[in-house]
Amino acid sequence: MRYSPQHVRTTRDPVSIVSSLVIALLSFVVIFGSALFGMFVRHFLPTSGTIPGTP
Amino acid sequence: MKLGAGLIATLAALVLGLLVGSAKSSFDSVNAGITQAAVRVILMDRTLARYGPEAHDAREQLRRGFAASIEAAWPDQKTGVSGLTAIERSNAIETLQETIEKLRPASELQRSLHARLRELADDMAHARWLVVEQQRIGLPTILLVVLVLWLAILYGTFGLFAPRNATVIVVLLVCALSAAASLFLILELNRPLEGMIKASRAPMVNALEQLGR
Repeated sequence: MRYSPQHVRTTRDPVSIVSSLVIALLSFVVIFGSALFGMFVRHFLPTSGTIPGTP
Repeated sequence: MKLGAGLIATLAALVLGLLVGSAKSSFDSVNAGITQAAVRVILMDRTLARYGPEAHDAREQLRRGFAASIEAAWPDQKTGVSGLTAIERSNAIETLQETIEKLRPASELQRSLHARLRELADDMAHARWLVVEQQRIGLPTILLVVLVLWLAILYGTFGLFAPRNATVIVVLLVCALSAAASLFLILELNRPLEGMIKASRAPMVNALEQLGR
């Protein structure tokens, strides 16, 4: 049964299981990592003239 | 590309602002609920005192149950049980309700006080389950994932436009830390009875000091 008491008792929202700090740290890694990835990718893109500072 | 980044920045800022506002109001409502519960406990103790010596056991039960609830919800040492679960598991209010039901009023004044006690006990039970059920409604996971995705795209665009030097990397690091800190605040404020940022127990402790006087 989908809404049996046992099922409801053991099914929690994933956000409430993982600590807020872990989620925030993961978010930081993803956000800062994407910024570094952007800096890395910039040199491989054929964007000469459209992105300032590119050769 | 800059227009796209601007659009995502606006969306992310709006959603972040809304989530912080909503989390703060949720935190404030739990704090208000705790203060109201503390006031009700003091009122119940005073009403029991006015009822007479017959209510001595109920008064003692109220004091013990209330102290145990504070200890369970705000433990001095880590117990592995969250404050919310402790409030959910506690049956102090139900036991007190039973004791109040067993009181036999002998005069008109006692009948009036008995009705008031039952009303207060019902209000306390109602407030308790309201806090428990409100806290069960967590932050939608998909909202958090989409927000982090928007921020990642935005910061990726920043990286794409910025020259590669130490100053830029430090600035991006600080900005990413700020964004992560806002997410941390949203998550913590959404769970006022768990985690690092908890609702204040000061009203409860003050109320406990008032009991039995």
